[in-house]
Amino acid sequence: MTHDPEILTERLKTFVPSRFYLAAAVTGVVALAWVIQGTEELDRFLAICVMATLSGLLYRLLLHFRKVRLTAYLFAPLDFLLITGAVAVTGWSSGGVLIFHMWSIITAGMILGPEMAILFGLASIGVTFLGASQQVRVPAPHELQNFELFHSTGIAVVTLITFALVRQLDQTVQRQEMLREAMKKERDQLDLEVARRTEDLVQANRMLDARTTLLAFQRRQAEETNHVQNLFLASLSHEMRISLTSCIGFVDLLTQGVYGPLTPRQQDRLLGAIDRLRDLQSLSHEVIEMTRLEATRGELTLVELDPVAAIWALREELEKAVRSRLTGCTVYLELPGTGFSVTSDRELLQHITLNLLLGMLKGMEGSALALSVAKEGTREFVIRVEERGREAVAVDPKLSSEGLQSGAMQETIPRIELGGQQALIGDGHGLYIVRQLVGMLGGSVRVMSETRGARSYAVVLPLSPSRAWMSLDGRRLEGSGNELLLRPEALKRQLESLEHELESVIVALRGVFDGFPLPLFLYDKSGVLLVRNDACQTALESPSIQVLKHTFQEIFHPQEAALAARILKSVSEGQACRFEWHPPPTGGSSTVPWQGIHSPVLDAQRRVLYGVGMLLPLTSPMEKDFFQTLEPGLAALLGFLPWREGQGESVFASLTPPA
Amino acid sequence: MPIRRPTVLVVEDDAHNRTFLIDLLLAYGFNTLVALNGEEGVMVGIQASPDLILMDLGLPVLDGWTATRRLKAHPQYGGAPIIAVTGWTRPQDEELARAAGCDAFVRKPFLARELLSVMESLLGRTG
Repeated sequence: MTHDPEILTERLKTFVPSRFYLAAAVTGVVALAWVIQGTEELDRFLAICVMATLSGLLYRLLLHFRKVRLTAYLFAPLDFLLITGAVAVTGWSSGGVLIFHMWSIITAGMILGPEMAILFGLASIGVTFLGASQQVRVPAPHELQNFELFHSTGIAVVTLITFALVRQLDQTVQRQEMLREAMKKERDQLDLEVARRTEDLVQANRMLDARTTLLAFQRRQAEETNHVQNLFLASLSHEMRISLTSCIGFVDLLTQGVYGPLTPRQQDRLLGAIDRLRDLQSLSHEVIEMTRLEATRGELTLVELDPVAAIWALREELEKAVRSRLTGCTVYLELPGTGFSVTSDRELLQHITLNLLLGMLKGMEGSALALSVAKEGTREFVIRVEERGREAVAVDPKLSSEGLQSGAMQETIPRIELGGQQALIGDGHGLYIVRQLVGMLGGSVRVMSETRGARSYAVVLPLSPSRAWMSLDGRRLEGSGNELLLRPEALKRQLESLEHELESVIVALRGVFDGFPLPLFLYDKSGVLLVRNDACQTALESPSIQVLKHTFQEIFHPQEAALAARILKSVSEGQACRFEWHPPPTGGSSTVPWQGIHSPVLDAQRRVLYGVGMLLPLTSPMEKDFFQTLEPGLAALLGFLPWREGQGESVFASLTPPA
Repeated sequence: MPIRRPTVLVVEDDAHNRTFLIDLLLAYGFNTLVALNGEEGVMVGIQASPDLILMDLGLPVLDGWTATRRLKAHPQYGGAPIIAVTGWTRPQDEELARAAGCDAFVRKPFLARELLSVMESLLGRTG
C-alpha cells in the first residue's frame, strides 16, 4: 500500500467520486433497460449495479469520515468481487463487464500498491478462464476461445503497465518526499542560521548604536569645549583690545601734544610705550591665530598658485602692520619681477607671511625689514624676513610709515648679508605659530641671528608636496621630500628599531664606561655630548638621548622625529664622533680626533658601537689597563684587532693602536 | 565766514575709551556728542543729526549692530555715516557690521591717525 496518508487520500479522492458516478450511471442505464425489457439476467445484473452504486456511496461516506485505510482496503477487492459477480450473473459471457476488471487492477495498483495490481491481474485472468469454463459454448477448458485469450492478454498487459507505472509513480513520490524532507531540513537550518545571524546583527547594531551615540556625545562635548574655549579666547582678546584702545589712545594723544608739549625724551619714551602696547596687542592677535590654527588643523586646500602674487595681495595688511609701529621702520618688499608656480594653500601661505613679519616687527631693533620670496633650487622656495641695520640702503619699492607706493613689483635687489651662524633660538609666540603653520605644509623655519642682533627668519617650503602622508597624530600633511619623513607606520617601525639600537648602545656604552677609573665623554659630530662617565658613573648626557629613551613614543612632530632619527643614525653608522677622556687631575686633558670604524658584522649590539672609538697612543699603563677591561669583541670593533668569530685567546698582548 | 565744525556722535560705554575719543575729536576740531549705550545712541542720532557717528558694537541695553540698523531705518535719520569701532576680531564681525549698515569698520586698538583718515574720507564723501 502507498504509505503516505496524504497521497492515499488524494488518490482515493480521485477514484471514489468517479467510481460512484460511473456506478450510478451504469445503474441508471441498466434500470432503464430493465424497465423497457426486464429479463431474469437483467434483474440480477441490475442488482449488482445497485450494489455497486451503494458501495460507491459507502466509499464516499467512509472517506468523508476520514476512514482512509478502511476505504483503501475495501475499494479494489470489493469492486473486484462486484465485477466478478456481474460477470457471473450474465452467464460468464459478458466480455465487456470483464473489462471492468481493468478498473480494479488499476485501482488496486494505485491504492494498494503495484504488487496488488499483479495479484488482481492474475485474479482477473483466473476469472476469465473460470468464466470460459462455465460458458456452454466452450466445449472444453483446454480449448480457449479467441476472446478469452485476447482478454487475458489485455489484462496481463494492463497489469504489467499498471505495475510499472504505479511503481515508478510510487518511487517518484518517494523521491519527492525525500527531497521535500531534505528541503524542509535545509529550510529549518537556514531559518535557524538566519535567526542567529539576525540576532548577531541586532546585537552588532545595538553596539554600533551605542558607540555612535557615545561618539556623537563625545564629539558634541569636544565641540562644546572647543566652542567654549574659542569663545573664551575671543572674548579675552576682545577685552584686551578694549583696554589697549585707551592705553594706546592716550599715549598717542600725549605724543601728539594734545595734553601739552613734551620734551623730546618724553616723546621718545612714549613712542616706545606705544610699541610695547602694540606688542601686547599682537599677543591677542596670536591668541586668535592659535585658535584658528587649532580649528583648521589638517584642512588644507592645495592649489597651484604664484606665491609672489599671493604675498603682493597682502600689502594692505602689511602696510597696516607697518603703520602701527611708531618708532619708525621701513619694510622692503623684495619680490621678483616674474612669479613662479607652487602647489600650496594660499590662505596658509599668507598667514605664514603675515605672522613672520609681525613676529619680526615685534622685537625689531633695526630700522628696516626686508620681506622677500624666491625660488631655491628645484624643490623649494623661501619666504624670508630680514632685519637690516641702519646702514641699509633704502631702495624702491618700499612700505614706509608714510604710505605705500603703488606700482608694479620691482626687480629683486641684492640683500645685505649680515652673516651669522646658524643656531636654534627659542621662539616667541609669533614664531611658534609660524612653525606650526609651516609644519602643516611640510616646510621648515630657519632662524639666523648675528652678534649685532640683526635677525633673519626664513621659511622654506616645498614647491609642491612630493607625496601625501599622515603624521603620527593623524593629521594629513604634505611631505617635503625628506626621506626620513616616512609614513607613520614605517616611521614608527624605524623609531622602534632605532630605539632598540639605542638601548644596545646604552648597554654597550655602560659596559665600556662603568667602572672605568678615568672620566670619559662621548660626543657626536655636532659636538653634542651623548654620554659621560664622571666619577666612574655613566650618565646619559644628551637631552636628545634622554628624550628619545624615555619619550620615544611621544614624538608627534615629524621634524622632531626626523631630528631624533638623524642623531641615532649618525651614532649607529659611525659617523664622526669624538671620544674624549680626561686623565686624573694631576694631568691635563687630551682630546683625540676620531676615526670611525665600521664592523662587517651585523650584530645589532656591535653595529651600534660604530660610534664608539678612540685613538689613543698605547704608551701609558693607564691606557693598557683600560683596554684590558674590554671584551675582545669590543677591542676588535675599536680597531685594535681584526674581527674573528669565536676568538677566545687573549688579545691584549697584540694590541696596537690604529694609524 | 566761519568754518562749520563737524559734529561727531560717540556711542561708547567704556569710560576711558570714551574720554580718549572725545579728547581726540576735540583736539582735531570736532564737536562731540556722547551716548553711553545703543538706545541713547539711536535717540541722540535722530534728534541731533550729527555729521558722523562712531559706534561701538558691544554696547549695553542695545548693541551697536541693532542701533545701527534702527538708525538707518529711521525716517528722520539724517544720513550721517557710521563707523563701527570694535575690539572683536572675528571674521564675521566686519561683515555683520556692514550688513547692519555701517559705512566703515575700525578695529580697536587704533592710532589717532588711523581713525582720522577713515573719518576724513567719509566726511569728504558726504561733504
